[in-house]
Amino acid sequence: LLVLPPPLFSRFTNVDLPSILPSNLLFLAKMSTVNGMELQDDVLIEILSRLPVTSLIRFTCVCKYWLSLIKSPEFASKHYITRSNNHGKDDDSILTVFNPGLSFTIFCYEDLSIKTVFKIRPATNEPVSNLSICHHDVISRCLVIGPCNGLLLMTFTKADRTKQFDGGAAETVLLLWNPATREVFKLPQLPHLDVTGSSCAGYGFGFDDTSNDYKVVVFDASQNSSIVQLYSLAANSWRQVDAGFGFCLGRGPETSVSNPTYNGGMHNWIICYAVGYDLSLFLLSFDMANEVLVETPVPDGATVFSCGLLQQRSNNKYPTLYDFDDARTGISIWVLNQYGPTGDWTKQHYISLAEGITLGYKILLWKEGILYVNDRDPDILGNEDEITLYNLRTHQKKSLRIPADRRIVGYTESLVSIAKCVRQGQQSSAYADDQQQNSNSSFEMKLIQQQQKEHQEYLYLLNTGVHPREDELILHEEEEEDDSNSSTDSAYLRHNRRNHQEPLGCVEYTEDEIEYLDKYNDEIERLSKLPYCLREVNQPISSNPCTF
Amino acid sequence: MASSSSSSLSRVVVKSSDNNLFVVNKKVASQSQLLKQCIDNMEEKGTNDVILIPLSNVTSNILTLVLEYCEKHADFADDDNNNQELKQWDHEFLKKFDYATLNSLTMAADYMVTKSLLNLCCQFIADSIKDLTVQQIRQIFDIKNDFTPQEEADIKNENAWAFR
Repeated sequence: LLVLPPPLFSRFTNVDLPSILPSNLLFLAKMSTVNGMELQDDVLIEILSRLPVTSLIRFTCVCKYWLSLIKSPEFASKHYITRSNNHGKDDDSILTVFNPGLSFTIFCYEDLSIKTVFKIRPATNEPVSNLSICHHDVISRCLVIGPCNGLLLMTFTKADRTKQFDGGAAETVLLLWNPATREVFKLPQLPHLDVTGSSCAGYGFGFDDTSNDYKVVVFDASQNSSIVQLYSLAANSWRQVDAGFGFCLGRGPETSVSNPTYNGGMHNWIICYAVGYDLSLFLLSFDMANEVLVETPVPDGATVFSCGLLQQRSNNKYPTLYDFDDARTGISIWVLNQYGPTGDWTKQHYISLAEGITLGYKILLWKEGILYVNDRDPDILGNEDEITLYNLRTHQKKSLRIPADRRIVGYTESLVSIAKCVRQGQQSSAYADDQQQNSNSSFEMKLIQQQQKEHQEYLYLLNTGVHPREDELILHEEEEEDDSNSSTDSAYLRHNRRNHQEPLGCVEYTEDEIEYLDKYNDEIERLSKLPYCLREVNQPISSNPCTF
Repeated sequence: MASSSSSSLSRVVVKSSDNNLFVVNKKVASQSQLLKQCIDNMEEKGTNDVILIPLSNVTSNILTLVLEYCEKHADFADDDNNNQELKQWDHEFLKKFDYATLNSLTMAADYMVTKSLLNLCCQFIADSIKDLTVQQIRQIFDIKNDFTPQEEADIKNENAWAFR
């Protein structure tokens, strides 16, 4: 580098930045006059958006500015986009579901080290759980659907074992879950459709970017109806929508719904139905924005035993389908070009398996040359589900050595707050907009109330054995609202809550009941401080169970 | 660009905030979108003089580092195969700086719109601070704790799992 002494200045044409820059780059000229602090902000956001979620949550307590920055929805989306574009970093996580114990294991994608293990069911006979699930509940049919911007939809059937002869005890629970921030949001009870225990129930979860809203769709494929149940997170309510597609059009009742997969704006399933003695397949897709179902034929030769949908890393609008050869020596990878009755698929890859390699009956995930396969042979009874990894380059097979069900999900950590999405739908938002922060916080307040209400219901049930009537469980809503308006952040809100220990004021309880409830007030209070946490399993975990 | 212009500049002079002048050849300067824009615009205007670009936000020692980076990356600009070698160089390049220098370098990269250097610095800083404690972060970024002890304790309690 040649450094010139100052006297030589006059020999050059001096450039005046604002005069030579085109209008779209004028901000560059302005930046040379702003003070260093504002420039630092810009860079600070760039740096923070590259951090893992756990670090960011810890750094919320660096200062007030960092707290408001990290909690803002704009930062959440900036962070998600930066992290998901960053290939080969530790942002990609893998979640496996193990049904019997209802436990979830989260792996770091890069080296398959275990990050966290979550369990829904309390390990001991604790009377209160923040998800109102007890140790003795029978939990079945657990499905994890998604991810969509780092969020997952979890659904399972919960039945109280002590009431198994009482037909009404089983209940379908739907939860939205952000495993990275550990926020769990329980959806309101599905109002018009009883899909408890039904294998024909289809669940979908996705994001509608036209209305900036997350939606959950539920239908029963065994019913002759085109009505689906649609939940909007912005409105936090269910409604019925005619999706323009009848399920039972001449198809038998043995319809099954499988392979829920989300692709940018569309949620897909594979529907299998019986025609005489044969099974026939088609792809069913729900358009999150237009709220309609679309039927698309699958590629020729694909059967229920040979094909399935693959989860994609990018939010590509069109699904990818794998299809095993008849001899199971190779796999075709198909990509859809257009939804609709034409079924325009393109064969993108053909993977031939090395000699002697057999892969189990379902491919769960395909990421960067590694197939995650469920290696259970469905013809052998009692054979356990097991996840096997098959490296397409080295043709090696390894076991993940973690008990897991048929579901394994790859996702990118995100800071998206489910609770904050509820009122956000129609609003424009900005950093540190006081009004908005207020409305967000007051919603979080309501969540806590709702959960307290559930605790009360549960306690009431424990005491009396009957479900309380709705009007018996009214809380001091107005009081709480006032409270929330006076504060701007949930952290402070919860602090303030302690001064308002009258959640049970409207219910007339007997003295025994009051004494009983008083005993649990502390527990409710404790839980209201951690309202979104699934129970984390604190057991020693062997590190790196599998590496190539 | 160069083919459509009436003149072609081979070198520019860049002035740092403390009034030192750096002569930079065009290929190296093009690594910075800010400098590239200036060159393209002056070429369109048909200037044949050597142009001087003042950078009022960047000191000489930081500018030296940015230009060192640009020189290295200009060498590799037409060549994708050496990516691994370049990555190694990038890492060695950043490893020797303290946080204050890294921060200034990052801000200079942002100001001069050298996207790859900005990404590199941000990722490097992020990777090195992700396991630090709150107290260490405050020290490094020179941030004053404006929470009351109670407020801070509440935030910690709310997400106790992130503090282990």
